[in-house]
Amino acid sequence: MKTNSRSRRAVTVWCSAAALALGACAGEQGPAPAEWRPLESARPAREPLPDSAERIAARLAASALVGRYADAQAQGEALAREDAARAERGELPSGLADNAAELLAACGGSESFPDRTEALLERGDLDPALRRRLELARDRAPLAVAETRIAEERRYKLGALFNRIVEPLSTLAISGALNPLAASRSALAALLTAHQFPSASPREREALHSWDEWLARHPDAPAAPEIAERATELRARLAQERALRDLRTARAAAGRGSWEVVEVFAGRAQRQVPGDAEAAELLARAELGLRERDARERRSLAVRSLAPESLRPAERDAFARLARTAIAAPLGEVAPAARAFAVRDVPPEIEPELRLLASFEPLARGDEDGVVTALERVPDPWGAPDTASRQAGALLADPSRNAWSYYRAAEGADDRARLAWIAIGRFANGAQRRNLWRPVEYLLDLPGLATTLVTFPVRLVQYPGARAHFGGGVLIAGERYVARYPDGVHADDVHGELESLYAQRGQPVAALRHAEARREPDAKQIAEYRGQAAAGLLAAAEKQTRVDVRLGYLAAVVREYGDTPSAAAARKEFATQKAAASPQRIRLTREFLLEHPPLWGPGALGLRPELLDGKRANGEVAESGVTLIGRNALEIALENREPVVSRVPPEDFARFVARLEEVSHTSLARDERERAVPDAARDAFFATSRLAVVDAGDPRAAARSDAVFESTHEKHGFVHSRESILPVDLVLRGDLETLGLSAFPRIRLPEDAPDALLYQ
Amino acid sequence: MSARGRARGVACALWLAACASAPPSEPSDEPTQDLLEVVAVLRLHVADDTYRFAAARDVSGRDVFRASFERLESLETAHSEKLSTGYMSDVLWFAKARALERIGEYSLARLHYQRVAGLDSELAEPARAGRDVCERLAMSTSPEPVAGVTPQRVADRWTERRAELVTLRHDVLETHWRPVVDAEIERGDAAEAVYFAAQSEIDPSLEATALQRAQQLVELHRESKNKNRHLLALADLYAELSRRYARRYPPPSLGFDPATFDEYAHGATRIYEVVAQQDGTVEKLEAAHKLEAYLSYSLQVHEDKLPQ
Repeated sequence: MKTNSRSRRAVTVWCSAAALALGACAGEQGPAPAEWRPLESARPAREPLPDSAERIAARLAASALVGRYADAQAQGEALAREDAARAERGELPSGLADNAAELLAACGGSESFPDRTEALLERGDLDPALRRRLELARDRAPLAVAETRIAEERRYKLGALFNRIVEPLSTLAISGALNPLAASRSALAALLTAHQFPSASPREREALHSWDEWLARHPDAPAAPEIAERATELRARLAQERALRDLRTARAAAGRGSWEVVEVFAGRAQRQVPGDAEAAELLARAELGLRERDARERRSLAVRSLAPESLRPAERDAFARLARTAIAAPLGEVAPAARAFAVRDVPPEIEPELRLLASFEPLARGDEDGVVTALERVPDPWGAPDTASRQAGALLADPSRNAWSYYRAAEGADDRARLAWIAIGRFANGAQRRNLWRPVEYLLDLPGLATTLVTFPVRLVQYPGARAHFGGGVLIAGERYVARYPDGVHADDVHGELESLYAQRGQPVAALRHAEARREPDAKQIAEYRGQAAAGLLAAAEKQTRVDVRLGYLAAVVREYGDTPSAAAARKEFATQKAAASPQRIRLTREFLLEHPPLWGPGALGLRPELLDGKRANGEVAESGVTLIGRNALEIALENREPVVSRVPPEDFARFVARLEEVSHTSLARDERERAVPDAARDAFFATSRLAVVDAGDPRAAARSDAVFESTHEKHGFVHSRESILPVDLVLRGDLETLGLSAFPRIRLPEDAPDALLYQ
Repeated sequence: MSARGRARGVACALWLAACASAPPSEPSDEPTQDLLEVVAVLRLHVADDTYRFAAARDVSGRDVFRASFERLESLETAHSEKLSTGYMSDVLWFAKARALERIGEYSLARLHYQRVAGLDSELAEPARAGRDVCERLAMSTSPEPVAGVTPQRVADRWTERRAELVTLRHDVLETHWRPVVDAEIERGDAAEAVYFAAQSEIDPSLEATALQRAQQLVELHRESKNKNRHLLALADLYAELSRRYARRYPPPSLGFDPATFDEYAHGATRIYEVVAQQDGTVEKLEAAHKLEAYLSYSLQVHEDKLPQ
């Protein structure tokens, strides 16, 4: 009986399992064969043996490499004969003639190569990639760069002047009747500022650099004297401009009495333009100013006497006793001693010193405000020829020691700045600087100021959004206060204000720090800040390119803000990232693979063709494509399936990498929209993979590349955008503040060269 | 004129006089009045926490301790005859000792305390306490010849020195010497970090030690006024190590490992960025410019690895 019941139970279990399995199979289709085994082991077709043209090309290359130009030329002629013979036979040419011509041109060396590119470019049989490479070589030649930059500069100056004039004229024409003042002011301002073009711009500096480079390489060329003359002229103009700029700075510094600055800038101007009279005069003034300042400093370090000469002999010992108390006794004892001394018949000149000593009393009991009040009282009455007052002044001027006063001043300045912005908007800091006489600048901005005054309700509406732009000074002064006086009498007020300012600026971590430091922390508010801080950290983690840094951020969210909703998300993300962590993460999208079949065919990745035939029924690679995860391992993302990891045979993987790099180089050479993307980790991985020397994946985060190879369409879109052939754009512009309306053509200005930064 | 009119006249005259006698400009270039004024200023700053905050500046913009010392020296030179009578010489020497100990001149401070300790003065007792502290400070910080000494021996010496200073710190915890000792411990830690950074150039096996010491300096002195300076030093070391690596293995060579270079580069840029965000500090400017300079350098290194 027992046995029967057990067998009945077993039958029931098997039946249930079978039913469940059938149900599961009915709900989801089983994996297709290509999904089980995504890589095929087919070998690639053998490469054809080299034909006669290729053999000639090889001999030509060898002759060129060892510098036998005559032999190379002979091989070039042999190749031409071979191509002619093929043409006679009605066969296609070898397609190597253009490469042979380039090779022969290259025999002259890199210096003469750019000059030979013109002749090469006239050939009609150039491969597009070769043509583009030759064009780049021609355009990168120093003389070509110089001429291009000079032409661009001319275009820029003319275009910018035109643009500056045409806009206000258009405003005047269209809305002049509505707002004649603003329109005329705009036109006048444009004309007045037209003089501000620098005489030597970065473009001209680059041209000068290119000329110098060319002259260094071709000192004996026929064009050298002319180029040298142009370079000298431009260099002198550049020096003049630099000297003028330095002199302007030196002049302004002289007005402020900053003699060290004057010395530096006037000296620099003098070195640029030796013999400049103004530079020499400024230098002399700076020297005198510095000498006088040194003398004053030396004088300030002297002491008139041990004790005031006017002190009566009877008081001299008491004075010494007071000094002993002041230097060594506890602070609390100093002020009473000073007061006791003051009741004696003491000379008036030491009264400020005694008041300075009296300020020690509030200091001893930690009364911050009392110290400030006592120090403010030291110079009283004004006019006393004392020096102790300056010591009190120095103490009051110390932004760290007198942090509360500075904090209050910063608050006041901030309030004024807010009010000024609401009232007069962009004119809150005065008229726009245009390098003109200041009153003229104000005059030019008067109409704008009037309009701005009228539109102040707009700024009232904008204020909540603009609030975060204010309060920078308050933050600095407040942080200084709480650092110096963490338990100060005003610490709670300051923490409250800083908390609010940081919250407005979207800095929850800083707001949280101050909220927690308050005497009566608001638990609800703190929880809110913690939530915001955790969410911010989580968002920052996603932006990190290095996986170790990303994991560090996620761990910080879990560790520091474990009680927030973001912690659960961070924990989950951490686990996912950690599980998916691999030495490499170089991805090739499905589109990219489809664009370059040699990459995934036999002998390379060896993907089964059905995975990329667009039919889902037999399995399909997902849009995200395949990912190289280190060594020769490949992670293949499949439509509606978990990714599959497979290993490519090392020789095939090396061939795949070589083809991938070839594809990248060809794209770079052919497509002008392509840009080289520096990625040293990717290059290092490819270099070692190509040599098939990777025995173990490099686990260092810095060795990992997250490069993505996308198809042309994915990168640049389906429409090949072309720059308009018209050199102008049409602009329609309305301005609410000045009620101006304008429609005008604007000359398209030349863009900065990629290396313009090096000449600024 | 009526009494009321006269009163009005007097009031007007007083008001005009008040207007006329506006506060004079502060006589910041004038010599100090007397010893009491120097003492008052110095005393006000004796308890300052110069480890956490920068030393106060006097009216001439100089470090208040250094300026006070200069003034006391000037006074001693100008009035040597009067001082030789013993009048206020105890105050002057004691004040000089107080100023000297804040500018790291412990041996000189000890000598001045010693002179006061030998006098019949109420300052003799505090001077003896000062002398003992300065003696211990001077002994702990006395330089040692490092030529021919092994790095291990140097590290041991720094450890001993630190232990002595930590003991001293415990002994002076409630006095104004506590920040002085803290600053001295910090100075030692920084010097040790600098030593290993320099040694690692000759012996690359010390690079890890140099980095560890520089990181330790940042960790241990988070409260210091020099915390940003220590961070900059750490970032500089990372940057220097990356440069050394690129010199050892030129970027175009096959031996150059971009990941190793990037480990150093990442450390440097991350720390420069942190300091460049510290509002209200001078180091902010320095860090921002160093970051820019370093990024230019690392761009050049990566450029060398680019296919042209």
